[in-house]
Amino acid sequence: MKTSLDHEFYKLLRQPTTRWAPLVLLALQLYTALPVANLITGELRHHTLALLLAKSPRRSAIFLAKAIAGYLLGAALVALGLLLAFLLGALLAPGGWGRAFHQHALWQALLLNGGGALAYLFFALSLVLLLAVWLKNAATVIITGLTIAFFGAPLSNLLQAALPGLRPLLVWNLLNMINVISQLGNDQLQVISGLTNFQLLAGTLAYGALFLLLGGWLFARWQQ
Amino acid sequence: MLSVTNVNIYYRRKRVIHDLNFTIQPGEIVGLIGPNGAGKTTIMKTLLGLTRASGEVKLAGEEVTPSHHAALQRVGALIEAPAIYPFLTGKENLKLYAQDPAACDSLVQRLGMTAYINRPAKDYSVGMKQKLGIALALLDQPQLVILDEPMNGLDIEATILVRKLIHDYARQGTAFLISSHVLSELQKIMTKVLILNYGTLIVNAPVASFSPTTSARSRLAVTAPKLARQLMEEAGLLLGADSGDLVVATAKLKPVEELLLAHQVTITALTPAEPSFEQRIVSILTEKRGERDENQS
Repeated sequence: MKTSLDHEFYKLLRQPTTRWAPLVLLALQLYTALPVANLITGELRHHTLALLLAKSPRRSAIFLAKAIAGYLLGAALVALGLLLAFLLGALLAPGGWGRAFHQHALWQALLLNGGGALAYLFFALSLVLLLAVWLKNAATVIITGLTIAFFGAPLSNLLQAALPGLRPLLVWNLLNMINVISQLGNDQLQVISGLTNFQLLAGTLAYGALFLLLGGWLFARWQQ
Repeated sequence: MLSVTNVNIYYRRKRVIHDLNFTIQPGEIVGLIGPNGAGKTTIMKTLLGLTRASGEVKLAGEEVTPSHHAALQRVGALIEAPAIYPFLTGKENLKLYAQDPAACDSLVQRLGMTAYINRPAKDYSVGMKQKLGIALALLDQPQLVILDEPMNGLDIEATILVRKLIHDYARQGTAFLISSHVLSELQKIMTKVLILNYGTLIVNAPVASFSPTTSARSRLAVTAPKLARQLMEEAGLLLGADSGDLVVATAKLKPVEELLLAHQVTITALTPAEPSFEQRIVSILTEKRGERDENQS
């Protein structure tokens, strides 16, 4: 058995598709934020920002247009993901949508998680826009965004566990809002985040709005 | 039409442009000249409301600031590099800003871009991109066009084409502010010169003041230079010699010609001995640099 396992791991680790797998995983993560970051940093890279700013009567209108375009792209991707999930469900497990998943029917859980993804999208893309205006470099924005997305929620949980006295305050830290992706479809996660679904949703949207306002303010003060 | 009054521009806390004052009237082609780092691009960006400055920039009576751009709707610009989205075709890039599609097509045709205008801009050569950048600046019959090094990357034919286009637009009332390091090219089109040195405007004058209609001295190239030099020295007609050529007073050309002809010496070239436009600009800049160094030491 050990030899067989060694052989299989040996082959698995050497086949070309395995070598590409981590890159593809990273690329998929990057791909949601990259077009949005590029809405700002691409203008710098292509030397198009000067003409765009000069020709537009209001800078805030440019920033808002970019933000709306980014949100709509993200929302379309979430909608496409939900549609694919329903299609696959219908093909592979017809009639399975009524099954219980956590405290909801599977289709309800999927829609609630879709809603959580939309709220997270507003939060994350607003942060990406703010970082893009601030750092002016897509690569730095993506790496910062990925670090927050991957390590944000565990770090927040760790922080709350380490400082239980400050927990009522710490539950409102921005990293804790990342839990919105999974908590709406699974009420049990409220124990981990320390926030009700409504509080978590409100907090996520408030942070998103704050990032958007800060990004717009920085963009309006942008010096060429 | 454009008036710049007491404009000072700061980079961080350092003043990089000092007390700038000039005007541009409709149809004028103004050359902005200065060494690297003199502040030409900074001034252009300020006119486009892209940098904060003290003082006043007014276009058609309306103030231009980073937060107030309404007056810039009829201003075209090419600053630093052509403002092109590489993933769009040339036509799509133009469509983003063009308000009159027919005029846009006509401009594409005049710039000789028809053959490739529907190709993605990422496949364009440097010259093609530059032409597209110029087309973007000239869209919709602007009141003012600001061009930073417009001839960069253009071949001779394209340079002549762009020069002709600038003249045509200027005749119809469009004003131009153009910076270029190719002074000979700028000299052919501009009507007014602004010379900038270390952030200070040191010359604001019509270009005609740099090109005297008659030159006081003439430069001769002859078939027998040694003999000609000796003859002219003996006759008191020689003012000097420069790189093998002989320099004489233009008023004395007739006796010089008769003297040389009498000794079978032929004149092979006759040119004005005044410094060229480029030499004059370099000389002004060198002089100002010397004054500045003296003041600092």
